Amino acid sequence: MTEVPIAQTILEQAKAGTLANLVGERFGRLDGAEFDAAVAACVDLHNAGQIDFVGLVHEPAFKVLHSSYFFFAQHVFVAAIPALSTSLDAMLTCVDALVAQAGQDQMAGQPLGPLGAWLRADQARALELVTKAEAGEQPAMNHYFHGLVAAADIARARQAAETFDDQRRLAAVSALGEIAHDPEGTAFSFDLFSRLHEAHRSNDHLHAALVSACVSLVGHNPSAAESARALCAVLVEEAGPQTIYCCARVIWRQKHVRTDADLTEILLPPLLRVAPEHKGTIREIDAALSTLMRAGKQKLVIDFVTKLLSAPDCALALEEFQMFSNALEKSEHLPATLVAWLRSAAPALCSGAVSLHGGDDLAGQIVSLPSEAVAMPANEQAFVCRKAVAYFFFQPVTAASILVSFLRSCDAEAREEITGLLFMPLLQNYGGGPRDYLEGLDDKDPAHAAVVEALAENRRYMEGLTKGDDIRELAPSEHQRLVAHMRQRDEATQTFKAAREQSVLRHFVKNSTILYGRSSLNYFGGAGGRRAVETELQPHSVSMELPRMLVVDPLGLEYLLWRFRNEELEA
Amino acid sequence: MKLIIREYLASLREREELDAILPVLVSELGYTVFSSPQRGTRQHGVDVAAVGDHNGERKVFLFTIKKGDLTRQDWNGDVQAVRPSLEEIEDVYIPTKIPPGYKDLKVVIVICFGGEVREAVRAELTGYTTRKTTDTLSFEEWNGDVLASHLLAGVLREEVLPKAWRSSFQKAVALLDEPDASYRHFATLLRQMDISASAPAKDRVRAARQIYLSLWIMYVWARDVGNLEAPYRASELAVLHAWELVKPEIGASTEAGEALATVLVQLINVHQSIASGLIDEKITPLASSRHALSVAVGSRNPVDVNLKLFEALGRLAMLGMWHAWSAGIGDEAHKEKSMKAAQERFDKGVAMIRSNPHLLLPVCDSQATDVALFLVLWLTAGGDRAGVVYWLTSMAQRLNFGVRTRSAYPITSNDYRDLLLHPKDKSDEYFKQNTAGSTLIPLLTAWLSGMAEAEASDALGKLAREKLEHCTMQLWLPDESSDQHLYLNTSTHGRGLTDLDVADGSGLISTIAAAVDEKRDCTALSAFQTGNWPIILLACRHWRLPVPPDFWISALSPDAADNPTDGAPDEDAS
Repeated sequence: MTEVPIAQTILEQAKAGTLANLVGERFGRLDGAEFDAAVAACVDLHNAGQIDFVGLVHEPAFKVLHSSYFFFAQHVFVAAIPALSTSLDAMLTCVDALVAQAGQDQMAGQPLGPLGAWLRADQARALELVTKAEAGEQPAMNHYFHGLVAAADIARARQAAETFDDQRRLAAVSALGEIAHDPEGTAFSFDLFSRLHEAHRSNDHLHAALVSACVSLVGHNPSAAESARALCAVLVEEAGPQTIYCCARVIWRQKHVRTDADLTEILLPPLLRVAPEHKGTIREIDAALSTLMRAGKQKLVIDFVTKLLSAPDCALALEEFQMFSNALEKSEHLPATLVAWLRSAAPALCSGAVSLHGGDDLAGQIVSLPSEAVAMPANEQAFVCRKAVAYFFFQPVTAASILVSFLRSCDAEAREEITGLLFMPLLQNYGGGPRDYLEGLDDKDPAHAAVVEALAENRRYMEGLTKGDDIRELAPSEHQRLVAHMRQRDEATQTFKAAREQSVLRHFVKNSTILYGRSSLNYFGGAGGRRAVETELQPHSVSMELPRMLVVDPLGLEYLLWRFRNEELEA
Repeated sequence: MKLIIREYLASLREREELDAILPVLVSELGYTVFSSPQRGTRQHGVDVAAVGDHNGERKVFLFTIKKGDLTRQDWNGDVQAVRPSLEEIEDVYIPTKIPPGYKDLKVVIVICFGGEVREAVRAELTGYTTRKTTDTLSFEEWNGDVLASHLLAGVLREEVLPKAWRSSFQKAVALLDEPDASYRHFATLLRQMDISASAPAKDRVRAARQIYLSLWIMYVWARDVGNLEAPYRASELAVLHAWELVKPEIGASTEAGEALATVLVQLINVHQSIASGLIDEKITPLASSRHALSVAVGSRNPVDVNLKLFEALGRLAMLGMWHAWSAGIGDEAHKEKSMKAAQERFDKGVAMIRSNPHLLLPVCDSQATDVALFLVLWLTAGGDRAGVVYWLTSMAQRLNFGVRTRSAYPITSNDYRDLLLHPKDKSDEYFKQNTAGSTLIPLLTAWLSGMAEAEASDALGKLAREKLEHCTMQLWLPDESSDQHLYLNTSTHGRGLTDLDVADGSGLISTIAAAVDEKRDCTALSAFQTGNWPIILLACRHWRLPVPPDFWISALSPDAADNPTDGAPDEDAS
């Protein structure tokens, strides 16, 4: 859409009760000058009293906007809020409605930023908010923090922190972190923070706010770093869920933390105590870890994750730390981390190693480990290889390449076992990917001789396997084949259904089922502008090789993998 | 029908195979067989000798048998050829071997072959018989067509094999490559015959011969098709039906009893031939190649592999036990040969187990029958103790793992759908429902305990205590109604020996031994009483009944002479 909406259109839609759709479905998709013009038109018409743009969020049509259209509309509001003329209460209820309708989405808090700008644009608004909040009025109480920050009244904030014992104290402490202080004022605030901590030793919410405020204050006044570290160290000693969340958040939000190694070392350890069900905190930790990875603290972060995921009964998985994983995949520490994690035998780390080496090829990607990564005693090399086999069993090329990496640097003792693992279970199970990879190894490769042995063993096995054709007397009956076929078809139907339900395209595309032909022909538009679109159909398929043992020895395979996965490295 | 029979006759591979059916055919034609040499031997050119009416005159018939078509080579190629045989009959048999009572009767020499006379030899044959024909000696040709006509006029004539029966039989032959259907039609045929114990002995003899011939025809056709599955199952059923026909004659020394016993032995021989064709020629050659038999099932479903391999092991065990059983018949050399054959089957079975891990744990409890059969074979034939220990301890280990992880463990249901979907989930409800009872666990525990494998035995006891409290541990014993119903599975019979305490291995053995000692219904079974004990095991295998502990418990007692803890069991254990 290229046409800039005109005020007339907005007025007509407002009159018709469809302004919410216009804002969500059309304005939100615009960009650049067109978007600015649409926002300006809404603001002008509102400020001129011709429409109630702030009240739009309470209309039924707005409440039922599809989630994607809602976020387009929210985008328009975020741009418009600072320029809207309206009462404090109307603005606050508008912002609250936008935040509430966004639900648990990470973008939910987007309107709060413009609210601060709206308050700062007119100090009277900030003062009104602060006054109402201190009087206990809603919705002002919920935005006390924004009011105090906009008013930039340090004394009032300190007083509130000492006076109130509800959410306003937290808002006041947080606001103190956001308001710029001079050095003297900073010291004064730190004294206040210490007193609050002393007085409320088991108040997790308060401790979280104090951590946040301490770290933020250092951002304004670096000379306070020592005081911040000292207080934070005390605050995190018995960190509860809120403090943990806050520690993670400040690491990625406050740039100076990344360069302050001492502060990082204070803020990271409490994160080890995160509860697996606190998904929001885990997302914050992920953001913190990836931030630190980018800041060059890779070893520190990898050690942290290793410790986190190797805890006994760890219920976390590396997949929950997607940003960190992305950073680690690009890191030079990846090979050593892979080996260390397999060697640790911790299930979450070993599974994490697998998730890091997914790739597009279902048979797995080739991993080449440098000699320093595999340098360890023979029994440990064999141990790591067994773990690699167990965890990378369904990405057999990856498993084989890890084993080959060890074969390049191992002694005779480990060589025999690792060669054996190449044959059984890898080659014995997979006739495709791993064999092709191993056969393709250069004959100058240090692992070549061992690989040749394993391939020869496999050839002997395959010759024995194909000695006889199918024995007709052993064939399942027609009835059994029919039952098995029906079951397979049911499974395929279920899988297809599940895949469709999980598809991200489901909400954006129209579904058509073509019964015959190899292309589809559609006509759009009316008689005058009718045009045809012909879509060629293309086959799409994926295939993967199933391990042979799933048929000839499923329980044996399960037991072998279970044993390899559960064994511990002998001291 | 005639075409089926002609094809069958033409497809007989060995002279002995025609030899095997000729006495039945001749008897049903009304002749009295006075010489029916053992398989594979020929008495001065004569394979079968009989006396009967021919054109209103009583004559001696001397049959010389040749498989397939009569070629120049068969006519006069070597000492086994037809012409030397005819000369031997004339020179030796007629003057010296015809019983004195028949000495004065005219002689008809019947040249009998499954196929036809080739043109190249026709003139020589006609010339020879014309030249040799006298007032007292004549010649006849019974080629495939004549034999088929005689069969249809005799044992398979319409009055005794009505159209409906023929239809079932023809379907059984036509559907050999769909063994389930073929077996179903064969079973229908046997049911249609429905010869009760109270039927006249003559009818029962005829029915037994019909079963025998039908099975033979089916077997030969199946052999050509390359699929022995249907005749294997049919042969088990045929033996069991024949036993029901023999039962009324037990203890009575009658002509019919002898005739029935002869047919029973012939049926057992055919059953063994079929079993050997399947086991020795197809299964055991792959026994030592790792996973080869598993792959030879040709299915992507592990359940299929498991079911088929345990089935094959049970059949192999039965074949071995038939050999061991036949050791009791004949001279010392035969005994030695038979026991060696039984031991070889056991060794092949161990090789199968070692090469095919599916045999290290059944998917359903009813496969405990196959497990028990193989153990009884070991007791009967002897062999590698280490192989049995490996098998039993591996089963215990896998059972332990499967139950504790609720991944793959034997379930009570035999339904293929249930097996295919197992485990549907890991819920307590599903687990308890599918492990409500077990004969496998008491069997394994008793054997492990009896073989002093305390660690594995204790592990099963612990497993039962911790995870299978809801499971009724049991074995099966025949009762007083079993002899009536066991062989043809006509009704539910027997008794469950229940609530066995598998936590105490030696106590378990004592309990089982006491029950077996007190309830002696197994040893009272007619097949047991007459020394035909493999028929009981055959019935258990065929109808998927547990093997009665009577067959193995005494060997597990601490004071048993052949206690397996001491090493290989004695050859005479059974």
